[in-house]
Order: sequence, then C-alpha cells, then structure tokens
Amino acid sequence: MAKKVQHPTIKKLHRLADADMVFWLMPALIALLIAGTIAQRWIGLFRAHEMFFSSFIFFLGPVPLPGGFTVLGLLSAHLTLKFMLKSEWSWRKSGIILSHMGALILLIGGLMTALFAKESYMIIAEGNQSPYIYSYTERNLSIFNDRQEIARLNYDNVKNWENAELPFKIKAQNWCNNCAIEKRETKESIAYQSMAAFMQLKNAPEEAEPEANLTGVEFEITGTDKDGTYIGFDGMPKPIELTKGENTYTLIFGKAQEILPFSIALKDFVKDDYEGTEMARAYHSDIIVKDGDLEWPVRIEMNAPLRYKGYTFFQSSFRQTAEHEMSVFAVVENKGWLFPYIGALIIGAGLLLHTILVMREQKP
Amino acid sequence: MIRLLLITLCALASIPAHAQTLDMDAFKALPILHEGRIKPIESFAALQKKAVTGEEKNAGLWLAETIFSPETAIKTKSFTIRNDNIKAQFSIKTNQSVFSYEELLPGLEKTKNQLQTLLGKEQKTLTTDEQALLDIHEKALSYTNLLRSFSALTPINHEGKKTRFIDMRPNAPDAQMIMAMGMQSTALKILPAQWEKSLWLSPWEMILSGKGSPASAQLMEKWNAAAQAYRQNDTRQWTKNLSDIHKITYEQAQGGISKSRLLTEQLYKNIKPYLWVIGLYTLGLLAAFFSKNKISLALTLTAITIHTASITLRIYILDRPPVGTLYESTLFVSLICAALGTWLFIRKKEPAALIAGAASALGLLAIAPMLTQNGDSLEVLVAVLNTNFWLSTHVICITIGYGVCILTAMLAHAALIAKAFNKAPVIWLKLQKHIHHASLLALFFTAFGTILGGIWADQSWGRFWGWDPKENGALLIVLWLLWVQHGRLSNNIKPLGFVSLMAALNIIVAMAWFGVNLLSVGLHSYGFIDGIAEGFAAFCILEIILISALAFKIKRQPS
Repeated sequence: MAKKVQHPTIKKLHRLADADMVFWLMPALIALLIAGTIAQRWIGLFRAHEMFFSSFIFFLGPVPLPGGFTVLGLLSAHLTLKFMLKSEWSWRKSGIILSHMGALILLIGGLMTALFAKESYMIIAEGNQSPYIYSYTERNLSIFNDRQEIARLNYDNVKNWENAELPFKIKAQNWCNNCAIEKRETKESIAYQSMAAFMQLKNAPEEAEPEANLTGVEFEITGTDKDGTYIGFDGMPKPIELTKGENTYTLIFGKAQEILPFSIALKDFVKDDYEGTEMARAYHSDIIVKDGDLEWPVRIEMNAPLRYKGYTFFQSSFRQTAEHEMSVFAVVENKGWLFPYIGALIIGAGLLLHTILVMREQKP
Repeated sequence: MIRLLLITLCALASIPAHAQTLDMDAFKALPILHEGRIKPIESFAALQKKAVTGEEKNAGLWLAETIFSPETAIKTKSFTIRNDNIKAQFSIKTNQSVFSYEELLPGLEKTKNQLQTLLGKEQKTLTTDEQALLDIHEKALSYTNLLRSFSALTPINHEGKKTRFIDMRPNAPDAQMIMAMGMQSTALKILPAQWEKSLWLSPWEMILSGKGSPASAQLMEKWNAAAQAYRQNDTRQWTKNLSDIHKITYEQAQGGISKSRLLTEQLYKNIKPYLWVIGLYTLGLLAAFFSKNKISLALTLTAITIHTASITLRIYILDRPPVGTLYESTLFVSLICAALGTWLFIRKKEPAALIAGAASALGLLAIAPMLTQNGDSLEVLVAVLNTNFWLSTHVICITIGYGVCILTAMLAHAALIAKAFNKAPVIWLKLQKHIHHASLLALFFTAFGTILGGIWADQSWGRFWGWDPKENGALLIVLWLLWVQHGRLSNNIKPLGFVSLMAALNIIVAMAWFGVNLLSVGLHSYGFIDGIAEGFAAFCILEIILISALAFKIKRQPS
C-alpha cells in the first residue's frame, strides 16, 4: 500500500511531537538557566528575570539565543502535540504519559502566572487598618480634586502625559528610573516651583532590584494659578498643591497603589527570637480581616499565608521604630496558583509509577 | 588602659592554679545558653576555644582557667600569630608563633588606634596584614570578655584592701571603670531567667540589668565559690559547689533544660562518630579494592549503622529533622550514597556499587567540616527554615535526590574506568543498566523535591517559581537528567555518551548544591558560606578532565 502523503504542515507538527525535540530543546533551556542564574550576581533577580526568562530572545555577547518564552513555548507545544500525535496510550506507558501531562500543567500554570500574577506589598502599623496595597515597581502620578482621584498617570507612559485629558496640562521634561538629586544652581526664566526651586534630578545607575530605585519626574504644568516646573520624586514624597479658580488639586507621585475589596487591621506583630540572640525563630502577625459587616481574626506567619478573594498575604518583613512595630506583607494576586499543586501531584504519581513499571519489567 | 585591665585580672596573681587535679566532668556538663539554645558548657567551651586559639582540644579545662583564674590564663600561650609584619608591629619574638595574652597586650594597646580606620573600610579592600590585625583584635576582645566573666565577684585590691565590685559603692573610684569593662562580658549566659519574659544572662548582665533575684544571687555566689575552689585547688569544695550549681540551675530553669539532651550532646561531641565512620568507610573501600567483598560489606554496614545512629542523635539533640544546614546536608547525602550503594551490592551483586557508595560517602564526609559556620556543627535555624513539615518533606526529598545522583555519577565513573582499562565487556553492559535505573530514581527524587520546594516557596514567599539561584540549581539537575534520558531514548546519545554525561552529573550536583551559594544572591541566603570557590572550581575542572580522558581512551579502543 502506498504511504499516505502528508501535508507539509502536518509533517512539521509530527516533527515537533518527536521525543528527540526534548533532546534538542533541553540544552537551550539549560544554557538559559545557567546564564540567567549567573547574571543575577551582577544585574539582580528582577532584571535577569526580564532579560532571560520573560523574553523571546537574549544575547550572550553577540550571539542571539532563545529566551524563556521561546523555549518554554516550544516545549509546551511539543508536549501538547506529543499527546495528540505520538503517545502510546497503554498501561506500560501510563507513568510516562502522567508525568508529561503533569509537566504540561506546570507549564500552563507558569504561563498563567507570567501573564496574570501581580505582586504588591502592604505595610501596616500595629493598631492601624488599611485597604491599600502598593506596587513594588509601578509608579503613578495621581491627581486629586477635593480628595477625589480624577486621573492617574502611569510613569511607564511618561512621554505621553501631555496628551492626558486634564483640567490643566502636564508635560514631562526630564525623568529617570533611578534619580540622584543635586542643587539647582540656575533658575533661568522658567519658574521652578516647590521642590524644583532648589533641586534637580540627575540620572543615576539603576539598582539591581527595581523597588530600590528612586524614580522621579520633572514636569511642566500650565493652565493653573501657579504654573511652572515641578518635581515628583520617590525619595521625597511631598504632595503638590495647585489651584485653578475655585478648584484645588493635589498631585501625588509614588508607588502605584490599589484599593482592596476589604481591609486588614493589624492587632499585633510578634518577632520571636532564639533566646539570647537577635536571630528570629519565627514571626507572626495577628490581623483582623474586615469585609463589609463581616470581620474575623487571622494569624499570618512564616509558611502560613492568608488567602482571600484571590489575594494571598505573606509575612515578608517588618519594621521596628521607637513608636511602634510595622508588619510588611507581600500581597500576590495569582489566578494560576493552583496549577503547580495539581501538576506536582500528577508528575510525582507518574514518575513513581514509571520507576516501578521499569523495575518490574527489568526483572528476569 | 593596661593598668586598669590588669586590676581586674591580676589581683590574684599570687595564687597558682592546679586545675589538672580537679574533676572537670561536672563542670563540662553544666548548662549554658549560647547561640539560641541550651547546651552543655563543654560545647560552648569548644566553640570559644576554637574561635580564640584555632583548636578545641581540652576546651573545658581552657574555659575553666579563663573564667576562674584569669591571672594565670593570660600567661598561657594560646594565641597563634604567623604574620611577621604583625609580630614586628607588636614587638614580639619573630621566631615564635604562639603567644600568651599578656605578651600581646602592649601590641594590642599600641595598634588599637588603627582599628577605627580599618573597621571603616570595606572588607575586600583590606590587605592581608590589615585583616590579620583585625582578626587578632577580634580574638583578643572575645577572650578579654571571657576573662572578665566573674570580675564583678572577684575580690580586687582596692584602696589598700580586698573588695568586690558588687560590694563597692557606685561612686567608688574605679567602680565605673570596672563596670564599663564588665558590660561587654555577655557570652557566659549561665544564670537562668528569674522572671517571666526574661532570659538566661551572664553574671555581669544579671547585675547590670537589675533582672536578678535572691535566687540568682545565691547561684552567683555558688559560682564564685567554685571559682575560689578552682584557684585553691580544693577538690572537696569544687565538687560540692559544682553539684550545688547543677542542682540550683536545673531548679531555677523550671524544666527548661532537658538533661538527657545535654548528656546526648556531650556523648556526641566526645565519641566523634564521624571519625569512626570515615575510618570504617576507608577500610571498607580498601577491602573492596582487593576484592574482599564480604569484609568490605561488613565494614560498610557497620559504618552505615554508626552513621545513621549519629544522625539520629543529632535529630534528638536539636529536636528537628536532620537536614537544616549545608553541613547537615552533606552528612545526610553521604549516608544516602553509602546506603544505596550497599543495597545495590546486596541486591545485584555489583561490587562497583559498594565501591561507588563508600567512595562518595567518604568524599562528602571529608569536605563536611569546611561547611560549618564558625565551626558550630549544631546550629539553630533561621525563621523560614524553622518548619518541621517542609524540612522533613522537601529538604529530605531533594537531598535524597542529591545522594542518588552522586551514586549514579560514581557508578558511571566506575563503568568508564572499567571500560577504559578493558575489563570484561559484561561489566560495561551491566553497569549501564544500573546507571539507567539509578538515574530514574534520581530523577524521581530531584523532580519531586524541586516541585515540593516550589510549593513551599508558594506558601512562604507567594510564588511557586521565582528563578532564584537555589531553585534554578535544583531545576538544572532535573533538566540534565531529562536531557540525557531523552537523548538516550531518541538514540541521539550513544551508550558512551550516556555514561559520560551521567558521570558529569557530579558537576551538575556540585553546581546546584554549592555553586549557587557562591553567587551570594537570592532568597536562600541562609545557605551561603565563604571560601569554597577554589575547591569548587578545582573539583569541576578535575572532573571534566577525568571524564573526557576516560571517554577519549574508550573511543580510541578498537570496536
């Protein structure tokens, strides 16, 4: 019988489903992993993450190599096609099929996390209550009219601030991801207002971790009663007050904040040290979750976060001042958090089954 | 300054010490709070002596002399200085390398003004001489603070008569100075907490913090009486006072001390089980080389039994799962290698497995002492690690994985050597099969352990995977195993390549286990240690040369 002629696309798909694809993709992933790990020594985790793992392509010197998205994407495609075209659905191969399925679920979970997860933090003093969480990396210029937020300009889009629909014009003139400040010597003809009257921003090398950067923008405001150049700067979070006729406006530049659909009140933060040392044995925060009329106590501690309404609160750090103790929670919103748990179970079961099957098969 | 120092140390210089005739066992068993846990004073003494003099032999006696008889202790030669420039600066004999504290005092005084500048510098910019100077001052400081442990209770010559700090008026001349010097003496925390929410304290801390009580005063007097008995070499008083101290301390701690744990710790420290284990593995290995398989098996099994027992003792002493520090991971991984190798030998009658197991255990145990922080092998854990559930699941799983990987790699080494030197071809085939099975087991443990680690990370840091170096290291092993397995399956990797790449698994494990610590970045900072970079690099290079040479030799053999 004549061999069935396959469409070239189907042929390519068959090729992608072959077991040796893993053999060819794995060295790329290994190289990526080693490069991305060693690079962290110099550029920090965040930028290494962006450059190697959350990218389609990266450069090792002048050589372009496939980034995390490309390799993991191809691997996911290979696994999916393998199930569709190549898998031998038999008891003998059940362990292998299960573990590959688990791996695919892990990869899908990874994709979900990469696309949708958001990390923020909450800092709250004992006895206080807050619904606010702050972004580690994102900065905004928020504009309030009589305490009502009327606009939020994202720092990532700083070049286009002048196009925003506002009661006055804002045009960014100079900005830096990480700024140093220096004394402003000349005033020239421009009216420098508020902080800008005595200081100016200067570009500084970026920190390894973006949350350590002090971001700032110098911007010109026109159409108010007090036009001129102003500064918004992480290092000096001072609100800018403006008036236009009857209206008063407040401009605040800083880490982007978000309001949760509930609040957290911190009753007590406890750092439990090993006796006679400053080394912590454990930390915990006793909080009260307040959602509408409902409220209930929760204890957040190391390895025991609070999960509620899609947000997860982890004890990440603390600050002790003369007046009070403050607890810092990392807040993660991740719709894909369950995938690893399911994937892990399936991979574990699959590998165990396969190991047992192989060992039984090898017995004389 | 020296005069003031000597007032508190040398007031009793006329009294000789004959401690050698006193029974030290009761002293060594007394409880002390140190580095976050109650331990026998013998363990504390060993760490202190090692920090000051560089070795821990007769540490109990050394500590007793230091705290009870400082006037003779400062004449004992116990500081090693090899740096000639420091010797010149200190104006001490250049043909000698061990000095007494007394001999160093003028030099310490002379160089103390340089300290401020040196401490302001970044550590990596310090020259060897500057680092040596800082080190000697640091050692002298801890030693001085130990010498002064009981200086509040020791009679000193004051205004023509003998008196003690605790009996002085606060405004008496020298009282402020003696107090200022005693304030730093915080290491010897031998007095149990007297009030709720207070802590074990050193004599000086107890006096100055005002947290004492009549009961603590009574205990301090007993210590003082023991110190006197030590100095007068009064065996009867020494034994009686130590027995009283023992009784009162346990009473005051109100059940806070586990006597059996302390005894177990002393036993563990004194029998030094790992020296026995290393000896037995070595003999087992030698016997296996000479094909005395039965003898080798008996020796290795004995070693494994002692090895397991000593890890069990550690679990009991520290009251937690066995793997929490880098040091502990080597103890555990070496046991896995030896046990699995022996099991393979018993099941499959494969002598190479016995050799591979014992050799890997031996190699790992030999590097273990380099991995302790400050020489302390029994440490408490940082908060994120302080969870028995994850320590006994993820950590155990991943370390078993490391163990199986190392055994697989060693079997591959054995196969390469056998093939390169033309042993029977059947060995080459048999070993390939064992390597394949062992690598599947390794894949199971490392993959499952890595995933469990992800789940732990999700529980404690809020993300399953963060591309942190330690996580990437674990993943690297999994990827390597997957790559070689798939290459073998798809026939892209031939038998020689398969065995050689499995032999290289040693390098991959070393990278994941120790290499990532060298980067000093990431959330797993609790595993970082200094000074292993050269050893790590040398190991990787030697392995690459060895594996390539063997593979090259095999490749050139006529088929």
